Amino acid sequence: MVARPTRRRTVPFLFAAAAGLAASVALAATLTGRGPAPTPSGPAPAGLVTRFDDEASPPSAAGEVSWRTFWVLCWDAYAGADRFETRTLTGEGASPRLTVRRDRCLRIEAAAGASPPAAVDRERALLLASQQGQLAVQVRAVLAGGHRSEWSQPVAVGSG
Amino acid sequence: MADRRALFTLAVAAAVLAGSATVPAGAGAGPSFVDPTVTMVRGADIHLGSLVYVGPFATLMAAAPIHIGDESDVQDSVLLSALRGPVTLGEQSIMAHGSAAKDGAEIGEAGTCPGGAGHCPSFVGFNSEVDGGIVERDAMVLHLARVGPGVRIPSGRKVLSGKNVVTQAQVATKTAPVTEADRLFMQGVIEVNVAFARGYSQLAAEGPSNVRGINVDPGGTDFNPARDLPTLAGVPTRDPAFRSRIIGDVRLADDASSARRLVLDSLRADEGEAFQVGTVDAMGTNVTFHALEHTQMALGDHGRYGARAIIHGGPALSATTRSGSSLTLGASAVLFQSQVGDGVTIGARSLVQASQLPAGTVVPPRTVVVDGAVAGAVEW
Repeated sequence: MVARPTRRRTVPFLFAAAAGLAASVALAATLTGRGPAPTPSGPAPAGLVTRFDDEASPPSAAGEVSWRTFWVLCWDAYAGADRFETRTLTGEGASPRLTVRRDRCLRIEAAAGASPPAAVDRERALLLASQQGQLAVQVRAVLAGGHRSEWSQPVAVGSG
Repeated sequence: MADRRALFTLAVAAAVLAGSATVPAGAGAGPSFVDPTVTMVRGADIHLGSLVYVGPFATLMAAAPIHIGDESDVQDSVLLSALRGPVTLGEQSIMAHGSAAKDGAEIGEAGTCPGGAGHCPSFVGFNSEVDGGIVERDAMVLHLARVGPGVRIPSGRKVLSGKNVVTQAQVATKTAPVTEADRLFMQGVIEVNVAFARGYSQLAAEGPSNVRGINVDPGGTDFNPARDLPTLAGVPTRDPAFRSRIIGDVRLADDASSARRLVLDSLRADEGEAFQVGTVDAMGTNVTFHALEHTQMALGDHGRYGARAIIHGGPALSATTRSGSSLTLGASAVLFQSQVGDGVTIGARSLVQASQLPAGTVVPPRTVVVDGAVAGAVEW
């Protein structure tokens, strides 16, 4: 059983620098996961937690702030894991495309805009809520010999 | 993908054709699938690329040509109406359930893709409409929104739900940037529907009646290896002659006799996850229910569903779609990844998304509700 992701919004919405994850989440490769599903070799990765990283520019001459919110999903270390795979799910179905990653965090730009400062929080909340109906992510571990763990429960992108 | 742009002309000579067949594979890229319930008018002017999926009860009217590019999908009850001008869907165009493109509309054909890629998706959401407008590559029109004649939604922008964009100047105020999450979403939808094009084509090849009426889902993927039959009042049912499409593990409380009130509706659980539909008191035409693996959907008894209404699951457990008893969903209304209590009424052409509504809630017509709060109006 996978622990439910817990909200851990570490950065309040202000002019925060991106948390140095960008380099570590570079996608190593993608592959297509069609065909019969192999028997999982262990439980799903645990300790899934989410947070938001926010970036914003100072107000422009027109008085608007350009802002971006990144949704970050991290999970615990997995004994024997050589790497991890993630896949996306939409309201239409599960994508057959898998992404291979060596680190234990995923960072996705989930909302962006240019708004008067007083409107930023409202627009950000609306766009993040709209995002939750669209996309979710699952993760599994790849062990020595190519064996795979169970998939984690899907976590909605934009959820905190 | 330029070398894959050879388009196939459907060999449809009749002025009106209902019940097309699977489009054969071409250019070595893979088959396209047209659900047999699709209505095509002047089908000789309808040109389909490869790996296209055209869902149940879509209507394609081609007084002027209709082009649908490779890896595009035209989902349930979509209207492509080329009565006063051509309709063009470029490669990887997504027309979500109930959406429409009319008279000169162009989607996913012009514009640019992130990083200079040669192709990328574009999206038109549930019950939205592009009426003579242009939606460029890497652009989106969210649910129940509209793009009017002559308006161009540029690459990298998305029209917000419910907005009606009728002048180019309004693009700045009624759109937001497309994000990385949006692009992953669109790419995921393309990949799933390409799998549907292959899966339903295979199903049809095994027997044309397999893709008619009440029937199995395609199965055959790692996320849904088995094929499932719907059940009516607990009885596994296969009825290719049924007037609606009910696909996969849909569990209707009504028996076969009561279910006959469902006409031209599409209830799809193509990824094998059961969803429960309580008794139906009324259902208009072109209603769509769609859910997938990992998503629970459960609808209470005595539901009333207006024409072109949509109920859709979301992508995660937190996105369960559930209604209590006596839900009234107005015509063209959308209930998306939400939970509503007993006796809820959602007015015509309203959107309820990512929300929990207590029993007795009344959502007025043409209202956008997101995360439990009114986010705006449907402006058209």
